[in-house]
Amino acid sequence: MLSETIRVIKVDPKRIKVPEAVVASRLGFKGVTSIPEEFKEDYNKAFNIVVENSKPVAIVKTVPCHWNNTLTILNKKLTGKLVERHLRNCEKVTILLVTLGEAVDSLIEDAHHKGDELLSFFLDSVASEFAEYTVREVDRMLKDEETQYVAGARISPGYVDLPLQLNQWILDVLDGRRLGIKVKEESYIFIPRKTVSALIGWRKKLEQK
Amino acid sequence: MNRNDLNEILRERVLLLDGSYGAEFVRRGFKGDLPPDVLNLRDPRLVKGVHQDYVNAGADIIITNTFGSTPYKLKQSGVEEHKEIVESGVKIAKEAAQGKTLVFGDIGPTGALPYPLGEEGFDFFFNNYFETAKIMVEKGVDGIILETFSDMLELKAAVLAVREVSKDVFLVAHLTFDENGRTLTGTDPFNFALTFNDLDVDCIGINCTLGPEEMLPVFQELAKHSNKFLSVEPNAGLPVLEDGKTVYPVGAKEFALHMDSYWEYGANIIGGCCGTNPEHIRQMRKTLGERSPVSRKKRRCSAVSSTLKTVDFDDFVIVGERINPAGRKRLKEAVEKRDLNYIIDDARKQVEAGADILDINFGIESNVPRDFMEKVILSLVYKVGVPLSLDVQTPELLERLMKIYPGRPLVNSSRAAEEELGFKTDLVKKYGGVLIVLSMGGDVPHSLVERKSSVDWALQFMEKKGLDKERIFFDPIVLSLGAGGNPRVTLETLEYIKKLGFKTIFGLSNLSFGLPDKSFFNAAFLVLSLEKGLDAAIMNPLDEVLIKNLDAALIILGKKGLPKARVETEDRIVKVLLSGKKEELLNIVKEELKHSKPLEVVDKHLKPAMEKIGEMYSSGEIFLPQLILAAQASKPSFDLIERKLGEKKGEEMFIIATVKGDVHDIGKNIVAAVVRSSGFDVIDLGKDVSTEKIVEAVKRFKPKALGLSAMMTTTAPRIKEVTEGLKKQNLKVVVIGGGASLDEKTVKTLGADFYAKDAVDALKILKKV
Repeated sequence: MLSETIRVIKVDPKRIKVPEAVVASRLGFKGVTSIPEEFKEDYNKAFNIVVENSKPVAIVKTVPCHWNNTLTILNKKLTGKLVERHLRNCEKVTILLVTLGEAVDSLIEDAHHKGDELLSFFLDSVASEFAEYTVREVDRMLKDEETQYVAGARISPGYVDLPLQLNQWILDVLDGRRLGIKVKEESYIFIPRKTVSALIGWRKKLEQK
Repeated sequence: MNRNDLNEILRERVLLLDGSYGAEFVRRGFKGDLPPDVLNLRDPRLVKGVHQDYVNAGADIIITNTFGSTPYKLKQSGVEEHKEIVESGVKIAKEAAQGKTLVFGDIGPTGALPYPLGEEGFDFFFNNYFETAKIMVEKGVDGIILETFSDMLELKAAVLAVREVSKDVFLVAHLTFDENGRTLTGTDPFNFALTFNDLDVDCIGINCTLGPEEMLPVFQELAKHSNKFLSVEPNAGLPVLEDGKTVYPVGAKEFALHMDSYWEYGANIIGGCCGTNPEHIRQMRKTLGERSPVSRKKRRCSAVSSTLKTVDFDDFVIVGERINPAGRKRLKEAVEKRDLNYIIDDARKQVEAGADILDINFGIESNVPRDFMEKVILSLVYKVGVPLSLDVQTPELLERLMKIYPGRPLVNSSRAAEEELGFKTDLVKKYGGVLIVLSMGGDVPHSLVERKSSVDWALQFMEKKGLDKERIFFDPIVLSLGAGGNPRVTLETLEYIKKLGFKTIFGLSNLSFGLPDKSFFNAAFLVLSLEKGLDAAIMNPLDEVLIKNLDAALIILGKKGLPKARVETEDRIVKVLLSGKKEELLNIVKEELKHSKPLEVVDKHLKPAMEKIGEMYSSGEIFLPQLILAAQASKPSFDLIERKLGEKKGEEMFIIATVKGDVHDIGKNIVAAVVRSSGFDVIDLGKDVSTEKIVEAVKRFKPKALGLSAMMTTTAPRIKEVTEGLKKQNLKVVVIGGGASLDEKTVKTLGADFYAKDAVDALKILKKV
């Protein structure tokens, strides 16, 4: 159900499936469908570390919105191409925050300080995709629950023209601090680093196509 | 629905296609003893039932049960009722769709391979698709989808056949790719996009063979280069055998999770192929919801291709001129005797000598049978694998050869005269290709003014015709020196065309016609032309003098790397570095240190090896993790050398930092590691570093260069703060900017001197300064 109250959803990291090809692409292995054999061990090591040390949590809140050339959510006006393209005429918007927690950040940093740049790089890449696929999992859970509304695309601050500054607003709306999430002053980057924010627009299902 | 309406919808919404039919028929009792298409006549209720399930699952488009319904393919199974099967297929699908879901006529490959891989020619394919598409259009499909093709020629024949039937039907064209990212006949997604960007199709895409995970990198590559709408239908994973049955392992929910990735890369139509069923489509509908597509930029690329190879003109291109009977007695004989093998051997020799493209001229075309010319073209494309330049005089013959050409050819050439240029521009627009336009209208122009005027006129003319700029090359015309031609005018015309931003090509050998010492004249003129920006020449690649001069000139002009005498130790070190064997490298270095000074070991062995690895990375031979691994493996050896050297050398110092407010440091760490592994003394100030601290470090250490990393648009302005801080204190240091939010232009506006797109780039800059 799309709820206006804030929901905190814990996700079992073992449930998150990240395609190897996607991580391979992030690592810079261009045009390949799997991690090359000589790096399989590094990949598996990084993947296991991320699974074991992630504590994926989502904070979700769905609120009514109003479209009149700009989108108004909770008295906040959102404008721009991305909003226009993906949230136009929405009736509700889900505000979403997913974090893997602090431990993964520390491990990435530790590897760097120990001079193991390769591990640091692998951990960072795996964790980035792990966060993305956690968001997908939560997105799916929401869509599975909902029967009255149909969702559009999920959009995130920092992409196209949706400003990063919106991260501060999302953090405030969802009261993300209680899970230890902060926004870095000026740059609006989340801490822990592997934290993702998103907006999902919903419209009433139509009978006729 | 007509083509324009559907194009309009696709600009607004991503559409969902249905899933597979064959396996669904089997699951519902079909024994598989007939081609599934026959069910349109024998068991239409079964077919309609599957269609309806896909409609109910939320598909926006269903496809007719006619994948194998070409006359040839049905006949192979002893089925003669082609017309009835196709008609019934459309009727059943339309009944199931009830006007609420779109119906696309589905056409698969014939199963035959084109000559020389098989026996069939272009017309065989064209006729099969024409007959099928005609029925579909008559029966009112909303679009036609050409699926699971594995060869570009067959797909091109199908596209042209559908367009012969109707200009108004929405058309989708798919190839299927293996895990190696190529089709059965060797085409990669870049080449597919390049070739089909030119053709009159609405949407191109990929289906079958691969699961959603394996197909993604292939799709990414296609999306990167295509200007069309994009569609994708993965299988439900790679098939596995379970109890003697083929099973597709990816379930509906897992399958749907991949859809966001395809959407992110620009997919406009998404569906499923083998192993997917209505449940997959239901889950995809949920995941996709009703969303708009991602906006994509139009790609422009001046390249030509054969089925196997794409040649872009970023680097100098050699077009081999030798397949031309003029002055070549043995080749003339081969053409007269239809000796295909001789021509193929001749072509291979040119390619081995360095030709990227081959120019094909049949001499007196009326003396050569058309089918032999077609065989030559197809044999060179498929067997030698090289793109061709069609130097064909007879208009109808040129049209025919362009029609059957599997790829994007170079069309050599057209005068800047209305009738000829109009005709040839229309041909490249219809069949694909890059057109060479001569800087001459009527008579041979001897002056720069005349040539400029021809170029200007041609540009205006082609702009009206709507031919993309990147598909127009100009020939500044080389005239025979012996017959009074003035090569200086060619050079001036070349300069003029380059200023207009167009690619240039000419026939080099004209210059020395009738002169002794041809090679020297040709070589000298080629070198002069390279300096003016010539992009390609039609020339003799077997002429050693010419090739050696060309190579030398390209090196001098910085367009080609310096050849290196490879030393055994360097190769060994490269190998050790790439396998990450720190200890082994350390032992090599210790051994070298017994008879060499520490700096000599760095300069003669470690630096060249890392340089080689950097080159390998830049050329795509190795990937980023290998670069990092090599940098990491070299560290203990550099530490040892540093200890031996004692004091660090200031002029080889590099300071790097991620600016204040930014906590991204993976990229910065990689740059630091790679630069360090090339012998630089690197001070890494870390991330989120204040401007004051960075300026202070520069003041204290006086490095050779300062690297500043900023990933976000919100943090990039900090670079300006640093560069201004340096200025205020009168500190002179080369500043290199890098990070996801930056580019060449932005870093300059922020006061930095250079932009480095990656670690190897940063290293190159450091060496340059």
